[in-house]
Amino acid sequence: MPLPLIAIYLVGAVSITVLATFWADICEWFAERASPWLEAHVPSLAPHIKKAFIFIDDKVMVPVRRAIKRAWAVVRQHLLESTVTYFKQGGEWVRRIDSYLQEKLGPRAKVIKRTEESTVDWDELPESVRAAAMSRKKSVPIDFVKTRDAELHAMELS
Amino acid sequence: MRGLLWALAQECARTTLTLLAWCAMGVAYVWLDSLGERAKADTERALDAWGAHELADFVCTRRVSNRARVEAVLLGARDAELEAWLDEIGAGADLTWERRDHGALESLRVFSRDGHRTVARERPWDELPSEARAAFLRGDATASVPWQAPWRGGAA
Repeated sequence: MPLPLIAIYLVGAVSITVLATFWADICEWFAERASPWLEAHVPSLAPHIKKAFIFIDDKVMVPVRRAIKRAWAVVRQHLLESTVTYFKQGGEWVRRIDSYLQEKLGPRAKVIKRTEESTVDWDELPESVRAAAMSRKKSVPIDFVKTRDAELHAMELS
Repeated sequence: MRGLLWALAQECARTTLTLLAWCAMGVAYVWLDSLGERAKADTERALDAWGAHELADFVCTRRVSNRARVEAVLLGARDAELEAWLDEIGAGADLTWERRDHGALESLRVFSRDGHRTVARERPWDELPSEARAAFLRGDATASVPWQAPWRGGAA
């Protein structure tokens, strides 16, 4: 029965990503709203649901969120800057990624610049880039490192 | 004959995929378990270090030269003389968490027979120990853990 299992994996991966992003919010909602509601309406089931929720929090969500933060902290040490620029060239949209990397850490460590370019279909462009293109902007730069830092900070506060 | 071989190949592929899928699930479980253990150990280590630092700082106001040694003893190093002294002055600590938006206010109260001092800091949800998170999810607004000296079987 591989297909149902593969479907379970896909659904599981997507659910974990969404849940991991908003986990602290979900816990707050559970503690303040769901928990008293369960006690009032389904008292016989409430302890079991709480136990399951605590298990998921302790064994899945918090370890995964901490692992993501730890992994990003390691990448952040080596990835000094990374900018993604979308621009139009000969009627096609091009994505250029400029990254400044430091393989070893330290003040004298060599900084490597890496540039990658690839053409992108209109449908694959991020929404913000499509909006900028509609307002006739010729190139749209996105600071990847800053964006990811902000996302993780938001995850900490969520 | 060809049809039979095709059916056999399909069955083999299906069995292999099923086995791989179950193996992946097992690996994911082990991986998550090790992540959980690591997260728990990191949190406990950080709390022990904070508690030992603050308690040593509090009890050593008149014995400054011993401060680093007292902190080491509070973290588990053996020193019968200092252990006896800490027992004698009634040195202790307890940790309390009050639920806040997206985390908790973590308060550490260090005390001895001469008095007490409380320090507090805001902590995000992920940095809280599992006992505090579990208490909040059960619906409690606060959680607390008393500290026990390592030479009396405490965590450090």
